[in-house]
Amino acid sequence: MQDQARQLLERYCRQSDNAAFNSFYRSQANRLWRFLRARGCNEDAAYDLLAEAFLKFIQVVCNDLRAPVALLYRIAINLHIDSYRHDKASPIKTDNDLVYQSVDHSTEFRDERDYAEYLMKSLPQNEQNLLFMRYWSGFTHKEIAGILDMPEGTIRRQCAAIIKKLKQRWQEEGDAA
Amino acid sequence: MPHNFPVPDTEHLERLIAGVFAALPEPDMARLTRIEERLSRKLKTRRRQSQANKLPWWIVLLLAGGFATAAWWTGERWFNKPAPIPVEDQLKPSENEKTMRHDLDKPGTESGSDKQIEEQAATQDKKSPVIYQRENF
Repeated sequence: MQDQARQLLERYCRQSDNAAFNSFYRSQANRLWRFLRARGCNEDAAYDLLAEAFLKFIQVVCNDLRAPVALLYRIAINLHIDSYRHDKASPIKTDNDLVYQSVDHSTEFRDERDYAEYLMKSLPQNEQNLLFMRYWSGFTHKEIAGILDMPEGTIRRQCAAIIKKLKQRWQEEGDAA
Repeated sequence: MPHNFPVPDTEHLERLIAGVFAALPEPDMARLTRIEERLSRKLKTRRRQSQANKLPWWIVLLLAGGFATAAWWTGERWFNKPAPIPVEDQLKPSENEKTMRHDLDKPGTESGSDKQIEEQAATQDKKSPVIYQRENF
């Protein structure tokens, strides 16, 4: 994924190929929007942050083409943190509920995926982000380390710890039944 | 929350996690396209700006070159150097060298130029208005 993205952006930066940038946008926009939603943005805020992230990305991407997707996600995360702080300081309350929190599990779980969703909802935000990037966006540990500005070993350990925690809870609640 | 599902292995759990994220609501493609159009406009503007930003550097470069040349030219004129001695002049023997050669010459083999000098001196003595002058010892 990173290689393809890098090739497109090399074409954009070196040959001023706007079509290459548009291809990059189309390959990333959907996932980034979902990522922002998973981080707790409401629908409109996710679109705004997506646009702002790409605008900032355009300004800096040609300076360093080593890991463009990681750079895009880092920009988006920082913008989301800024917007969260701004909303917190603002007297006007916005709807920043997690997407998962709208799911009602008061009855019983339909299937394993439904239960997995319930377990993931109980995880802290940073752990949910890790799972999203590792198992859905398909980033490697190294790429996630680049996005979150953390050592690769830490990311590897954290991912393993989250999976272990989920399995443990799955086991405990299954035993309780 | 109790359940009856068997504990999944790591691979199956990873697939379940991916499935959960895949089930997130899809974005509105029309809105994403609008953002793309906005970005395209921005890209065109940005290219024009970057081209415009490059121009002053060339001007600065040309001006700097012009100033450097002018400074060098002015410096040459201001601190006027002595004219370099032509090579032919440098090869001619100096006066001292002439005298030394004269001293080394054997008696009786005087050069033509020395004779001329003596004749000139004698002519100057003859032309002098002083006919007789008492010598002071």
